[in-house]
Amino acid sequence: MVVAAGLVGLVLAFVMPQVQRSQVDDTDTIAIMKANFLFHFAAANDWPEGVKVGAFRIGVVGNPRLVEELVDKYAMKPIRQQVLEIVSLTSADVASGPPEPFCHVLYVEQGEGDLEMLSRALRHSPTMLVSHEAEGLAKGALINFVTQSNRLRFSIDEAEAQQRELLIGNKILSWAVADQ
Amino acid sequence: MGSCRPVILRVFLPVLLWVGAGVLAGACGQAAVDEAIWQWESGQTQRALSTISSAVEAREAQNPEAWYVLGFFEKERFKSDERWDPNSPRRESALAAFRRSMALQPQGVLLEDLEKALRFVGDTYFQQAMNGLRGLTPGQAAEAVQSFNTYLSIEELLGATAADLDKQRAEWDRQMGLAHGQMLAAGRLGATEEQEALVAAVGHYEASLALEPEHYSTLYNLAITLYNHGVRQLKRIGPETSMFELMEIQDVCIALFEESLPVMERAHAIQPRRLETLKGLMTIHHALSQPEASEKYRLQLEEVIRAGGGE
Repeated sequence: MVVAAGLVGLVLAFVMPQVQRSQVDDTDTIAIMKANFLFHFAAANDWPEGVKVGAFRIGVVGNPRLVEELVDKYAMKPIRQQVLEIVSLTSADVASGPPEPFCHVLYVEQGEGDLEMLSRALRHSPTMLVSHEAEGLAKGALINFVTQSNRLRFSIDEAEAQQRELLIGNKILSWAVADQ
Repeated sequence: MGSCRPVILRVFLPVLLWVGAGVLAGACGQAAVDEAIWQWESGQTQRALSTISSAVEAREAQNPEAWYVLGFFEKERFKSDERWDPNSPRRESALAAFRRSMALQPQGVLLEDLEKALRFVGDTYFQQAMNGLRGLTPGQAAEAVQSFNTYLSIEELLGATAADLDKQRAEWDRQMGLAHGQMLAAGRLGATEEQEALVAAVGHYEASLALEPEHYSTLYNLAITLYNHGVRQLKRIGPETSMFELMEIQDVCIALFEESLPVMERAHAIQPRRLETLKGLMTIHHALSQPEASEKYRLQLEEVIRAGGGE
């Protein structure tokens, strides 16, 4: 009987060898969420009339997986009368100032660009600078991603946004958390 | 008559001689058993079944041989008439008769034959459970579980130890967890079916862990099932997802990631140099926005690979 039970155990153990090794899905989950947030930042805020022509651009500095996600799901979607374009940038592209062409939203990954320098350079430009780093707002970002209870949230520097003629939508404001 | 015949010769012959000697009281029923066997062997299968069925309902109710013969007939009809149909009522009848026979404590050759017959029936339930397991669909799970439970009950009847049964039960639940995980990963389920499959996968893994708490593979696969289910929800996020929905989906996913993490840590504690566990921990921490912890496991992963690969 022991032998029989052992054999059955063996049969069971090998009956489905194809599912023995499940693999962790290594999709970048943070990139998925950030992409959706950035899309909402683009769709639910308002820009001055002067930049409501041509393509609506979201520039991403130093996060290829976020670019992939944005291109895959959001590129070519309408942002009011404009068509969404995703621009992939490296830290070298923003080393000496804002990128060309103009980006309506510019996301800078932590450690991929000098946020303070960029902020200074964009002082008179209606570019929504978004970061994900400690004291991102203090360094000049208008929106900074933060982590609260393992969840991705964001805080906003509304006063600075107004100064740059960017109107933050109520929907976005209502989900913003206090700066950390 | 197959394996039924030798039993009849060895067990019934002395009885028949006894009957011949004039002890008639209990012999009429016994003769009915013999008559049923004779009918069966001469091809009158329906009559044989009728004879033996009447016998076990009356004088032969306490005769293990009679119940065995009834079970044997039903088993043979299951094979020949119903062509091994898994839904055959004949197989159930055969099993019920064999159980009854076993309860009457048969001895010697009868016991051997009965065990052989029970093992045969048990194997058909086991095979049915395996067929359900392979390419499991939402509708098949309950039937597969029922078949396996029947198989285990037969094993128990045949004297399997509690440890043997637990081992088989743990392996079965592990495989059922994997099969449900596979079903989820295929991504073809509706929302309700998907939720049910997740609950079933987790339930099977937990049942397996209750029997074998330190089983690396069960822990690892449970963690992966939870984590990957969260990722599947996130992948559905797109331009149509409102900010409110995004927050809601995020809450659901983070809860799954948080549930997955301690399970993956338990697996890691058992086999600290397994590459897939290190990768799992690195990924889960990243998804929980814990870059330092994610980086710690990434470095460990690199170190294990540099040192010549993990376990």
